Amino acid sequence: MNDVLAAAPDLAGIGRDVLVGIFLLFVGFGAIPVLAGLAQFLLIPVHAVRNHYRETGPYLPNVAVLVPAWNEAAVLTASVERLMALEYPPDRLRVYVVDDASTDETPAVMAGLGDRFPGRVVHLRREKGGEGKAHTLNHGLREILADDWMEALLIMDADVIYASDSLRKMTRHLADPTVGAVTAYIREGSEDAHGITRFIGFDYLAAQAASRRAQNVAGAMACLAGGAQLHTRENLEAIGGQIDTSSLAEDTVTTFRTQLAGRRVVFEPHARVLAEEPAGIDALWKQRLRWARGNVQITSMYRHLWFRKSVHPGLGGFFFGVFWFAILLLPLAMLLTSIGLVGLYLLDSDLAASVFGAAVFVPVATFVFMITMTISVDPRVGLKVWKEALLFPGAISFAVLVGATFPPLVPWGAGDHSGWTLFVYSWLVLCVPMAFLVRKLELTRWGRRLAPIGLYLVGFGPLMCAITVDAYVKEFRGAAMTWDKTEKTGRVMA
Amino acid sequence: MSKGRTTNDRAAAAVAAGLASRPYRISPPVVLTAVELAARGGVLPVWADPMALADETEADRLRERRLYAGLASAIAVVVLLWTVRALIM
Repeated sequence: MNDVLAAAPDLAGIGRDVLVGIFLLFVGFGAIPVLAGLAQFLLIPVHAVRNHYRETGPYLPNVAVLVPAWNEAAVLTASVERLMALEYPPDRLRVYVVDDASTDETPAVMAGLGDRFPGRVVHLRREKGGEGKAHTLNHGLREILADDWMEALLIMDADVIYASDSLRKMTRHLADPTVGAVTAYIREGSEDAHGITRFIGFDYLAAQAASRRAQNVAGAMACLAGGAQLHTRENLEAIGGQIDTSSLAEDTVTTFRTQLAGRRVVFEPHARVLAEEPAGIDALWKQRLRWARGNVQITSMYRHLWFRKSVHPGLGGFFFGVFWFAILLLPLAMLLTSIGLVGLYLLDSDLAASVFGAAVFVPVATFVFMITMTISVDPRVGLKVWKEALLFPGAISFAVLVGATFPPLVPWGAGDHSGWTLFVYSWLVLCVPMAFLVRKLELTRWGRRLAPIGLYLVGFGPLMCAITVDAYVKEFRGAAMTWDKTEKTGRVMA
Repeated sequence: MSKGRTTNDRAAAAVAAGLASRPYRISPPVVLTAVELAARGGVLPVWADPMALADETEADRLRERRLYAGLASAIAVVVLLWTVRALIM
């Protein structure tokens, strides 16, 4: 008995050490997305030497442009006129608008456009609509593939605007027979960009212009942009001639199928496309929820692929797997980091402070490196959205990071600061439920004025994490897969 | 929900190898009539001139070298941040 009592303190000590080890592992897990992001951004400059330009050729195939449209009368005329004005051989360009049983003026608008551009603008109407974009595209694909004329197919959205030289900059990559598809650089194009559209502007800069260059270097593309994907006829036929309708991420499925069928997917950063993006938090939430749920579905659909180079050298590679799961599991990483830091604080506040103090400079430096690199890939856009870049994690998180990086500069550093410390350690995960509240706030009477302030305080990054959490929940519950169309007003600036 | 596999792994590798050995795709030359050229003010559009297309691609390839300047800026900002922190601490 005495022996057991004597051993008890040791058992308590061992238990404490085990807990400390577990909490340290939690904090370490939280570092994985940071390191994955850093690795990805370190690849971007390599694109200066490792790119596809030396393998291109002056290739100008017959291009069919496929435009899915549901109640897009407000933007169709301008879109088609701009397509007709592209700097591309006119006899090698046809536009097919698939009208998904629109109830607005779309049929009349298309009839007028057909008369103005005979033989070059084709109106395809579905009498039964509302099944989603993939079904609409498939209707057009069946018609276009039935004719031998098309050599390459450009899938785009009705509201996007292509720079006049963009199409030929995309087709040049198709000269290489190993390339199956090419995507372009989509930019947020609102004339009056403010608040949320500026955040989206930075998000697109990072996710498109920066990240896709890294994916070019790594040899594996995560997703062809839905509004700008150019396929060879051969590739479309190889992947079955139809777009996947079983998930909410048909663009990603097409991208994966292309690469798994043995063809390359290339990002062309100098083919620029402007797109109209949601101007409200709720509209953005619905759009991104669809994307996030689609990514959860893709993770399950391609479970045989992850970290298996034998299946595909790029998509199954270590780098691509870490990159994919770092985004998908970011909310979990944030939760574990917070639990780890709070747990360490409760067991040994000095150790927690040492871990936090030692670790904080790495994410801060990575964050600064990533936003500087991102702004540099397109300085014209970057200099417009640099404030939103700094406030991407939210003004509160920004203040926390500044306080942690430069403790002598902040007034709250002195005295008893246990409450402040616990807040700092837990804010990393608390910001996610706060993002849910910001969305709810927008739907209230004063929401339109207060929600943007809430967004700047909580941050765009936590909003994206909250949407990912919502995607987990909806996918786990098997919620209906609805296609919430983003409202388009034609405010994109050419 | 589909499995996501379109071909088996060996078949995909064989496709990739087969494609790599194929010649580059070419399109027929663009021919502009005198009337079409006159409508464009006598200026040959880029897409009708293979040399201009090649020059455009080379310009885009060289433009990618600006990424080195971005890398240098990003490193400089991080070093500056570290230096300021070290001085303050």
